[in-house]
Formats: sequence, C-alpha cells, structure tokens
Amino acid sequence: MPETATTSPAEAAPAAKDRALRLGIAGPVGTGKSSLIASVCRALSEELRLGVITNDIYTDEDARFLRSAGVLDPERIRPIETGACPHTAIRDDVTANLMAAEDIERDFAPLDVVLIESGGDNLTATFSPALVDAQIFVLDVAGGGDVARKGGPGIGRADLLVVNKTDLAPHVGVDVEQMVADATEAREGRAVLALSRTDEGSVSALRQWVLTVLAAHRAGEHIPQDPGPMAPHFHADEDHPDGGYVHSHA
Amino acid sequence: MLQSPTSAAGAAAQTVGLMLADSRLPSGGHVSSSGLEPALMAGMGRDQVEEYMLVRARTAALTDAGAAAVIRHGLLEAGQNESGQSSAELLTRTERAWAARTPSRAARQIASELGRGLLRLATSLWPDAAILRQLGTAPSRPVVMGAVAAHAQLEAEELVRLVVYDDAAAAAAALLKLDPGDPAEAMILVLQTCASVEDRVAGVAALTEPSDIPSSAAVQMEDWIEHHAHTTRRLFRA
Repeated sequence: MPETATTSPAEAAPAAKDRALRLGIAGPVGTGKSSLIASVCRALSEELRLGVITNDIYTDEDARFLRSAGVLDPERIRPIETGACPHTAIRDDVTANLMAAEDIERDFAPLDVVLIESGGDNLTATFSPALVDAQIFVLDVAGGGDVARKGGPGIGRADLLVVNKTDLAPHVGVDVEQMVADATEAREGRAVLALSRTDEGSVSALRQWVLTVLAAHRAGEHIPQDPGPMAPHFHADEDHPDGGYVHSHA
Repeated sequence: MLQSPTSAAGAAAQTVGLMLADSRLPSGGHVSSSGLEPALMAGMGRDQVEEYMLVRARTAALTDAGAAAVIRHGLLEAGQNESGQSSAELLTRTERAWAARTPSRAARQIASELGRGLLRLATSLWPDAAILRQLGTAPSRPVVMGAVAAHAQLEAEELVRLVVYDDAAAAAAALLKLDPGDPAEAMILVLQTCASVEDRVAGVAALTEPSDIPSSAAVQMEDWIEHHAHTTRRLFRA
C-alpha cells in the first residue's frame, strides 16, 4: 500500500543549482550514446557521484549494456520505458523522466551528475529544458560526412555536438576535419568535439567539458537552453536559388 | 520562455474534466494501452478488439471509476466535517478495496505509476489544495482522479464517465499504433464502449463505501497484463 505521507513532489524540489546537474544525451540510433555515457562514467566516476537514466523504446537494453560495461554500480543505472513515443518522453511530457531523476537523486543523495540518455530517435529529437540542464547531441562519422551540414535543432544548438567514432573515419571515407568544420559553422561557433573512445585525448576533452558545465551549474551561471523544435533554415525559391530568407519556426 | 504562471485556481469544473480527458495531458499516460497490447501480443485477434473494449469497460474501468467516485465522495464529506483522520482511513480502505479487485501486481504497479504522474501534475497545478496533500506518494490513478474531482468540484457522474472514457480512449489510441485501421473506427469503438456502460454510470457515481466498488474481475485480461510485464519488444507498459 502507498504510504500516506504529506510531502508533495513540487514542495520537495530543491533549487536547480543545489541538485545534480541533469545532462541529456540525444542523437540518432546507433551513433554511440550509450558508449559515450560509458566513457563519461569511466572518466569521472572516481571524482563525481553519478547516476544514469536510460530511455528505451522496446527494452531495457541500453541499461543492460551500461550495467554490463561495469562502469558504475548497476543500481545507479535505471531504465525507463518510453513506449511508442521516445521524443514525447524527453520533450512534451517529461513526467516519467523527471520522476526517475528525482528518485535516483533521492536514493543516492547527493549526486553530482545524472546522465539521461534519450531513446534513439531522429535528427529532430531534443530534450526539454524542463528535464535537463544541458544536452549533448551525438552524431557519428559512419552516418556520413554531410549530416552535420544538414543541421537540425540538436546539431545546431545542443550545448555540445559530438562527432563520434572518429576512429572509423578512414573506413567510411569521411573527412573528420571537414565534418567538424561543417558542424562548427552550422552551430555558429558552439562547441563541437570529435570523439573516439580509443582516443584518450578526446575522452579527456569530453571529461573537461562536463566538469566545466557542472561548475557553471553549481555557480548558478548555467541557464538551460532549448535547442528548439527546428533549427533556423532557409527556403530556396525561383527568385532566390541560394535561399530566399532565413527564419526559424516558433 | 514564458514567466512561470502561478495559479490554476478558478478553472471551471468542466474545463478541468476536459483537461483530464485529453490524451495530451502531460502526466506520463502515454505508456498505457489499457491492456490492449498485452491482449494482442498474447494472440487475441484483431476481430476481438471491440469485445475486449466492452469487457474492459464493465470490469476494470468500472472498478477504477467506482474507486474514484468513493474517494471523491469521501474527501468532500471529510472536507465539510474537517475530519482528517477519517479521510486517511477512507484512502487506505479504498486503495485496499481497489487493489483486491485488481489482482494483477503489474496492473496495480502501472496504475500506481500513472497515479504518481497525475498527482505530480495536480500538485503543481494546485499547490495549495489540501485534498491532494492527503494522498500518499504513489496512490493509484483512480484515487488521484477521485481526489482531483473532489478538489475541482467535478460531479460524480462526470467523474465516472471520465474514468471510463480515459480507459477506452487509451486503448483506441494504442490500437491505432499497434494495428492501424480507419481512425474513425477507433473513435466509434470509444463512443460505443462508453455507451455500453451508460446504464451503470448513475449507480457507480452514487457509491460511498469502498466495499461496494464493482468487483467484476477480468481474469484473462489481468493474466495478459501480468505476462506482458515480463516481455520485451513492447510499445506499452500495459
């Protein structure tokens, strides 16, 4: 039977800067979101108290992968099922994820960072700022060198864009430097990181980025940003073959 | 981003009812198919969906509706008498009576998670509502529906129709994902399902005692839900 306690969830919520940094990891299926989380855990679990929430569409496979990777106490990795709507659960109805974040923060208090992995969706899925304080969008070189140029809200305006699996670049004919340059341009200078779990330097840069965001969060200087439902883009027409006007959809 | 709005007080009871019936309500409800996916995955035929929904309405949905109605009535009574003690007892007795009529642990578990999500939303909407503060941390969804109805002054019959509709609409929406056909047919199923228990609405709405909550269990349905909790490759929790 449920207990008849009198605290309400809304009442119990501390100020954002006084609770764990909630860091979202979004990106298309297969780009290495779980693997990136494993890398963050490996790099930071000695110095930070971490928790992980995975959003899976069909199963708890991502949670099982992370548990078997042995990078964190299995109890600190929690799956939630997003059913048929993985993008809904991280954007328009974040209830289940918020409850899971509050639970894990309470059960392992105090936590420094809660990593929330989205269910692999498409290029348009991003987290609501009501759920995460900051978000990483993950692409991989195997998805093709032109993906970064095509843009999208996550590519354009996530707090960090990761171009993952750079070690595969020679095998898939992608020029990593060009892809990073394209991404940097699409993001108007926002952070881009070329990552490979086998390249220690890149993992170290990822680690440093997380620590920097955490420091800003704790100082109350970090303001969660919504990447938006769509990135600004232009429509080409007959009179303006190179693009008539640039706009964003509200 | 807009400035945080501060109060949801003053909404008409009917408006609150409409909001609760809206599938876009952000309370985590989109993970439920009202047991339809468990049934279809267990091999129930597409041609039996109509029958399934009719059975579901007069068993699980009326049990939920009865629990909600008893909670609504009891909390309103307790509010008039200012008897906090008796409302705590009523909540416990009603949860128990509902649980005894919902034998599947998996079904109770999902109802509790949905209830928690709805309560989370409700306490954000009405932070000062004394009625909502009496609920536990994870009451089942029918209990939260009853409490919200009491707070928002929703009529008992409206509440019963709301619970039945919500359950049927979730199944119909799931059907369109799992085995899509003409969407209009799914809406016909919803209206037909609600109409099929219309003659029970007044009686269930008038319930005041937990022991009188309808107890027509659908054992096969509960078994499917129980089994579903242990499967993978599912789109819905239950």
